[in-house]
Amino acid sequence: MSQDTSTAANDLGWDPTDPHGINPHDEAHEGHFVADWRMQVSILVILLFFTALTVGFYNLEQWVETAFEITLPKWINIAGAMSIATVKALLVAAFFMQLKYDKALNTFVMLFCLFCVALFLAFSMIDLKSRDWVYAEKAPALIEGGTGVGLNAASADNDFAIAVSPKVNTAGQNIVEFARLNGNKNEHGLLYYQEQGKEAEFWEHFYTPHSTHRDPLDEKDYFTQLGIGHHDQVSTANASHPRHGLTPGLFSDVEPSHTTDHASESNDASHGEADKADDGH
Amino acid sequence: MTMIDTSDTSATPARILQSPKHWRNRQYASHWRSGDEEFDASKLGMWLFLSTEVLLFAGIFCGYAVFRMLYPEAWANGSHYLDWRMGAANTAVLLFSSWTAANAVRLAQLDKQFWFKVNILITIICALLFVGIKFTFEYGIKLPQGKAPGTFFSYPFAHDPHEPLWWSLYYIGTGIHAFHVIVGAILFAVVLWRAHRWQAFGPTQYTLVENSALYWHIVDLIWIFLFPLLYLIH
Amino acid sequence: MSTPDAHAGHHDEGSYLSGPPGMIARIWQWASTVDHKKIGVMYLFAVLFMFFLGGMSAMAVRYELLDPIREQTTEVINAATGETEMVTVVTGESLKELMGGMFGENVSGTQIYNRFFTLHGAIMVFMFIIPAIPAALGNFFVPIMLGAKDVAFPRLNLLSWYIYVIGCTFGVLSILLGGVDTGWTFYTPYSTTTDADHWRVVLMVSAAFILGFSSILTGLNFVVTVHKLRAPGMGWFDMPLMIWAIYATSIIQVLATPVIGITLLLLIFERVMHIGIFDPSMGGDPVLYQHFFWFYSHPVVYVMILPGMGIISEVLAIHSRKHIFGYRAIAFSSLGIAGVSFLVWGHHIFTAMGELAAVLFSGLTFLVAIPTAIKVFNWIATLYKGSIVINAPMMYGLMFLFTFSIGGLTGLPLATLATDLHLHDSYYVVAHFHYTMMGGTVIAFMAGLHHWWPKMFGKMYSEKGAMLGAALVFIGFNLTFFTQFFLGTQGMPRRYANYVDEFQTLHQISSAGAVILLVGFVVHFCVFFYSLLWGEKAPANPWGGLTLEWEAESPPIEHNFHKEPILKHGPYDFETTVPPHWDPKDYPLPEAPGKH
Repeated sequence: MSQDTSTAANDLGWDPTDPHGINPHDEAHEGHFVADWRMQVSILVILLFFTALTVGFYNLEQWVETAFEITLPKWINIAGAMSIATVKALLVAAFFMQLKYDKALNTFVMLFCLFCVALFLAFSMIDLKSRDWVYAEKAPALIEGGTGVGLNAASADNDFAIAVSPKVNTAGQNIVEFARLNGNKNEHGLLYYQEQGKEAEFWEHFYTPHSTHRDPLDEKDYFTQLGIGHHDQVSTANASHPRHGLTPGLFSDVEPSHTTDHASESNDASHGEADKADDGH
Repeated sequence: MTMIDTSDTSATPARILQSPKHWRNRQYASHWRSGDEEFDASKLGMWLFLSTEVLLFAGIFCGYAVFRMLYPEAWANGSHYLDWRMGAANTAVLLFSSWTAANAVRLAQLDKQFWFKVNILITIICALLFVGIKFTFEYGIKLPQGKAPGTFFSYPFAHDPHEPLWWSLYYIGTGIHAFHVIVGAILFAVVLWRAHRWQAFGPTQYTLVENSALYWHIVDLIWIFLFPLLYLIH
Repeated sequence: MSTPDAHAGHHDEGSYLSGPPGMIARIWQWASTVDHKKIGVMYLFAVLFMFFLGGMSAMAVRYELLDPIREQTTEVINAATGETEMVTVVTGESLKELMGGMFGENVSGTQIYNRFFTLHGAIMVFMFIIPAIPAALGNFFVPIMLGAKDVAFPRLNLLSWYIYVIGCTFGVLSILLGGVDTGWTFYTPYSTTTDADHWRVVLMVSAAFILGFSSILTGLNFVVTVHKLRAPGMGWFDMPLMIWAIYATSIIQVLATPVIGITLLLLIFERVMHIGIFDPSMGGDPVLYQHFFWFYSHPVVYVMILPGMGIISEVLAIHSRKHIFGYRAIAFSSLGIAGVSFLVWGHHIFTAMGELAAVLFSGLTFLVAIPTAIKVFNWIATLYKGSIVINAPMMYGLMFLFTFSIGGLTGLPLATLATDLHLHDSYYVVAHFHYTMMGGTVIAFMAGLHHWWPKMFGKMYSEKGAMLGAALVFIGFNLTFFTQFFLGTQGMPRRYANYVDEFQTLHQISSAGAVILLVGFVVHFCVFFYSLLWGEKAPANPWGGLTLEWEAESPPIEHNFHKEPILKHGPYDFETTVPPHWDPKDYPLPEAPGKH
């Protein structure tokens, strides 16, 4: 190839007069594929088209649901999005990254890697999904709700003998509810605004209506949604639906007793306020 | 389109032409039998590295997949908070920059130095644009509203108790991706500097350009999957 | 290669160990080198030092376990006041008595023990055993065995070395701050919630994260080297089996290590920001961490063992002067092990998984025994009717067959769901992985070290001293760990400093074995130290090997070979080829020139 006749004369593997091979006839384009600019522009246009397509598909789904008042099965969204994304990915890989014109080994490296990713996701999802499955032949041995052994033991919240990261004890309150009421240190929560008599500002500042959200309870009172209705689910072996914090909660520097009192107070107060606020929106 | 022929070296100052870093004067390393072998090996090495990047993001995708499977409502709610138009704009920016990166490789192969540098510059600008859109119009709006990861979550109107988890995965996925975008921009900045200062890249020596472009395309690929998974859940 | 090398006896080009005069110049030469041999030697000394640190942690663990920790509360009559009061006496906290002062007042004996076993695991896994054979011996020999001048990316190699150094520094920093007590696996929720002061855990986790990059870059380098830098005439099936093993190892390193990277990153975020992915109160799942962790950590145990198996292929063939039995089977089984290793990680999580997934993983785990068994049978067949030479490498090779087989076979009760329920997290598991990791990898590493010592440093070691060390290591190792199988089946849990009195005898035997093991390694250290300073000069090919490294000088010159080697025989054609640098008169070939 490019190591030419000058090396044949001696039995070295390399030419001593040109040890680094800067041979004038080490051709530039030997073996290197140069892409065609027209091809590249077309691929870009196709990619942008597919992007528009995937966004269009998403909007179409929503339109179909509202126009025909049906609920599409969940898998349609993911199947549609992933197939379009895969086509885009293949185009980028084959043409922009030039896998089509390259040695097959490089393609194989990427494919094997994707195989490992698929394995990882598949087995993890199988475990997470099937952890609480009970097989018919073992059902008789199970006691629904457990045996009750140790049920009344002191909760972990009180008995943490080791020092824990500074987190707040939500004292049995749902984390999201807790956040609404208390906010973080910088953006004060509902309680703060109520104390200042500026509750309307709170709603104005923070509330963004989500008209695209298909939850039919959207118009109703937020506080009642938490913990009841379609959000009321029991925790299972593989999915946790906490009624309250099992480990110390999210935020620091808030006293548990303080929040409990205010929670019950503000709950009552805000019901009335929320209804009023709802009318405005 | 009239192409300005910029491959003439007569306009290039002698100090650049004679610099050992000029592409005509650069040599392949002595343990290789030819420049082609070195190039092929570098490319294979880069593909192996890209597979490590894909596997890094696989962890994030696995966490996403597992929790989407378990908490579909929290995921649907969470996705509705995201503005798909910003996401689509970012996707378009990244796809365009992917094209300019591929174009830059082609131009380096053809020794069209000026347009090569222009394309690299556009790629860097697109990268900065991507990061800018993300930080100003997305993170910059959401974080003050309390839609923040983990301990910083304080958004008052979450519907579903698992939304903080959604936000955590959103920020980690897009954050690590944005980090890779910045790294890609830095790589291209190095390429641009070398091209400008020493005309270091040309038809026989463009390995760094090729590898940077490959890295950039993987970053684009990851975003191609992140965009519908995060923004277009219904 | 039957004509003497034109440069033999000429020292125009010095060995790779020679360099400029002056201390600073020499240090700079080594600190800035891109020569794979120097990098390999630096790795070698670093991993040996890490082995020493990890070993000292192990001695601390075994010291603690001589005596179970007991808390006894008794009624005592206070002599001064005459009243009865309850007094709690803690006995058996051996480590706290020995060095409690270093840790401060509030750290209990069990907590000190927890820190030591964590350190032992973390140092041994991340800083010793993963880089040991690939980065130390592999870096040195992969290019030479392929007939190349260097690895594919020499500067990346140096970067990999410095990343390793930085990672180890982070780890040492964490140790100096008091160490971590989470176990080397950093299981959530303990690792995410323990200890309000983040730094010790975050430093140790960051150390593992950084070391992962070193591993990835080394693996990447080797894969490209094997694909691109083989000598002319060397096809895939002309390569030594050590190369096949390192190639398979490198594939695993490249593919699996990024997953531990993201896992540790998520762990740090969970700790610092409470993102919730591993916390049930936010909807996360602590067992998901275990899936993430073991997706890397299971393939990594094959990273640990595969290069060891490569060494054994070399050592057994050369020291029995017999061609390896079933070359292709061993080569493909290396790839097979690498492939199947990605399918089985769930067997570390059997007791926390759902049944469907557990059954799947159990079945797949049995699969991985097949390629491993193929190798063991092929090695035994290699020895059959060979001219076995009894020297240190061969003794270690034979030891490997014994201890690794025990390790592999004891993995089967752990792969079986029903028995694993009882054996999970017991000493049986500890014994199993020590038989495979130490009885496998460390023994193979010792075999390789002795086998290639003359080539690397140009000095012979004392055979008698090495055999003494090997005997002590063998006796000590088996005493230490065989007893642990019994401890495990009788119910002794792992990571416990307390135990019931019935286990004390076995624990004491195990600790005694550990002392003998320590003495064995000290003997080896003395033998190597003596060899470096006063050892006899080594010939180029002391064992009569046929792979390309035996054509190079001992120690090799900077560019490995004086001229690019052209392959004229297979790596194990002992029956038909005179080894390089050997006089044909000293090596009578069988009469009939025969089959290959």
